Amino acid sequence: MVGKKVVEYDLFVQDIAHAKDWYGPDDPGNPRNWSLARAVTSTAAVSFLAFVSTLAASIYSPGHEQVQQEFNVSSTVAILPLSLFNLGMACGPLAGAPLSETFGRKVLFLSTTPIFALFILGSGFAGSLPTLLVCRFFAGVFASPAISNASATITDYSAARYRAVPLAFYYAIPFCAAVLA
Amino acid sequence: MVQSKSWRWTQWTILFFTITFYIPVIFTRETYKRTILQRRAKALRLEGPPMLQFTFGGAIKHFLTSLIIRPAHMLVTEPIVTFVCLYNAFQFGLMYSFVVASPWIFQHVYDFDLTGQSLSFLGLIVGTAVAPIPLVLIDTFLYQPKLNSFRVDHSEDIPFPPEYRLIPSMFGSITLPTCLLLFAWTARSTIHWICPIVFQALTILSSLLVYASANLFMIDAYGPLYGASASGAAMLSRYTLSAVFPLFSIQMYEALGVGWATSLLAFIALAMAPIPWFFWRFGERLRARSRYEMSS
Repeated sequence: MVGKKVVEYDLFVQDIAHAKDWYGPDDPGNPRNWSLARAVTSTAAVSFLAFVSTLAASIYSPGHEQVQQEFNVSSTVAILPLSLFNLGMACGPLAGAPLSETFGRKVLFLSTTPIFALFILGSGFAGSLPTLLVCRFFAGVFASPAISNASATITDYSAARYRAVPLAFYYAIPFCAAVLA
Repeated sequence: MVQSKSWRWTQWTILFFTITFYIPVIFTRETYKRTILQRRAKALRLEGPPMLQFTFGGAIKHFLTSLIIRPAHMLVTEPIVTFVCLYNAFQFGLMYSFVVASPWIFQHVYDFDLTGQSLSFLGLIVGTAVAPIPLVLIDTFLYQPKLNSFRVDHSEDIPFPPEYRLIPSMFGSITLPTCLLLFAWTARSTIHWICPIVFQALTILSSLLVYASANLFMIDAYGPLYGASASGAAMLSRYTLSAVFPLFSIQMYEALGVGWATSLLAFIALAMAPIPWFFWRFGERLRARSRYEMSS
């Protein structure tokens, strides 16, 4: 099955004279021509990554009382690692969007997520509140491309009229993650 | 999920999830048109898509425009962007208020212990989990038939009015303040805790109806180019509010009590309820006046 697809693709590209744009409406390279199965699995993959990014914001919430005791700070200050993460998310697209337009969607997912994980690792080991705040903020910055890039990816392969259904699941994900923690 | 020995475990949990969900993404395919065409051109030694010829300064100018200046300009000059961003930022603020305040509410009203506190998220989890169902149903039984009958007597290049995307948020705009008020006044020790949990579920469900459909409306109204800037404005405003709301929500609940604090949120939701109805009625006129709008 896969082999047959590859042969068809090879036959197709033999006939094309340029790669300036899609070669007609049936261009197999165009994500809009993906099979339903591929579209569904891709939606699931990027939505789950977006899910983790949002989960990271709110999963901190139940822990804030322990942070309050450990670092001996007020309850408002103990909420800051949640707030700064969200503020980082607000700033993230400033770096994410140019990178996505230059290197493509997948490179962005694959490169920012490990950096996000490193800052989460830093948050987990933080020995002082400032360290925790800084790590949480930058974790938010590097979590944000996974979210904005996910909706961009979904719109890449779903034509306008069929967009509502995949995006319904995608929009539910951050809410779900935020409350699941 | 977490009543753990240490808050540090919350961060380890995230690492575990990140690794688990990173792996499937490795196997996805690139979807960005320019990148796909560039790779094809390179592999087959063909002429590729027109290159974006940028000097360093030009690139900075391009991204400053599309990421900061244009979103900020749209936020203040485009009523559609202003009000969709305001409404959606409030949905996020509301959700994060609940995330922080929900354990507090159920602990103070019903004396939930630590295990019970995870139960206090039950309504929120169920509400978000079922939200795609009404969204998909409305799309299948209202939006797609409308679009089909529109195409019968309009040619393909006449755009379908994006206002039809607003149907779920028109439902949600009414149910949101209603359910918030019901949640506010059923959360008391004389009424079983399942009642406020159910209304909290319906609240967050309504919130998602509003959020998802208002976003789709905005993306459709501005098309691919300006839609990205409009989404940028939305992202900036909603994460700013979700940074701010948790900072005062517990104090608000402590000062006003569960009934009035939630009612206050309901009044804000009520004040914003006309937004989708206003766009339904005047959206076409607003789009015609816009400097950015291109619904293609």
